Amino acid sequence: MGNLWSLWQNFFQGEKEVKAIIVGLNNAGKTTTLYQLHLGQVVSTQPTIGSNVEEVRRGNVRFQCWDLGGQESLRKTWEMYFTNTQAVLLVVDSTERDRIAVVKHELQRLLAHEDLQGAVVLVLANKQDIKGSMTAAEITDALELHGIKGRSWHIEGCCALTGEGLAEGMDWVAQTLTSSS
Amino acid sequence: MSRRALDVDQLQAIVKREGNGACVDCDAENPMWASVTYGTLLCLEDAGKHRALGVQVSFVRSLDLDAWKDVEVASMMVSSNAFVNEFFALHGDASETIPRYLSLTAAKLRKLLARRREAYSESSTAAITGADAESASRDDTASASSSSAATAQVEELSAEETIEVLDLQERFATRALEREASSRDTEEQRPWVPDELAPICMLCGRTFTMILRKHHCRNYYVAAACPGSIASIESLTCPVKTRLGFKIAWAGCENEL
Repeated sequence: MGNLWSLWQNFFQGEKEVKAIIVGLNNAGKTTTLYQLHLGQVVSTQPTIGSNVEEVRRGNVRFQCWDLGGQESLRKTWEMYFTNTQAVLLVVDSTERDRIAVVKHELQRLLAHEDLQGAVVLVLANKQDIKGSMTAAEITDALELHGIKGRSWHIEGCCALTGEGLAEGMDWVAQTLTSSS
Repeated sequence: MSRRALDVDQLQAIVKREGNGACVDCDAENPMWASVTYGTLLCLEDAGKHRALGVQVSFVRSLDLDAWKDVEVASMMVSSNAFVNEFFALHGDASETIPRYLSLTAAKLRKLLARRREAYSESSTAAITGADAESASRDDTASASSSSAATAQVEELSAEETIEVLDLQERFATRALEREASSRDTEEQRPWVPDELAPICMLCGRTFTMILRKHHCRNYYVAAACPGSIASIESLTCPVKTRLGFKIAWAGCENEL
């Protein structure tokens, strides 16, 4: 019976469930990204205190996306969400050159955490619509992404307000996770 | 440059500045967020609006959740809610709250405050003695500067800076239009068909019963056993909730759940 049930579920659902966390500094655009992915539209956001969670579908993958608050003291609570996380979406404000070092520090902290050893990393270089913002290549250098060993990572320039680049980024995550399992 | 959480003295000094007891844009009391750019305090709701303006226009920090750089603290000490409101009243319009930060007046204000911040940082690094003496002298310079909104020397903007502001305004105008358009689109999809208005399958017309279950999504009802829905199940596009509690999808509907 259980066998039948799972067949039934496979037939109708046939999808993989993935836990993803959306992290980044405050005001990077995490909540906007989440709701752009979830609703396909821009919502007016307030600083996130705690977290938002929504379900996002890309192809055959159902993402459970946790959007975590980015304020300094909230960043310490990120690790509570790390268990079973398969994808880390790091949202970077490409216009904030002077805080990119802080992003790098936070990224290294994430990469070093034991609960995230199996997670793939997608860096979303947000706010590409703004003139003078850093390009994906510049951010790759600034965050030293090429130094990441033993895990898949990808960087995608995007604009959370228009949704540009987000679909491509999520497709990469979906593809990487389905092909690896 | 190092960042650390505000200590009690700093917090008190900021909160006690003129007009800082209420949000600069509305009258909400005890605002806990700050626009570092203008040295003003905001309620959570307006902090959200300020963040949407972008960091170039308004850089928002939390009084209790963020770590602060010294220069950011300095920025809070050379301005106040009263000062900023007075400045806008004198040099521009005091009517609308959020759009005023995109005006040329706001750009002049940013320039003025940046200059003050520098002067303040220099003077405070020069005098590091006892904590009490220091904070007293800070209060003096701060209150002197905040009372002088009317007499403040306002620098004119250069051509480049003016263009930058106009650029910003244009970008926000187009963005607002896009947002309005997209919210209109989704508004049309919003209502769910209520249960009592969907007694029969929209495809085959059979009445739903205990045995003939219905698939329910935002706009459509179809029978679980309906040939139309079974045939299209393979090209799943729309998630549909069934009464059994799991989800399948019906290709005839493009609306999201």
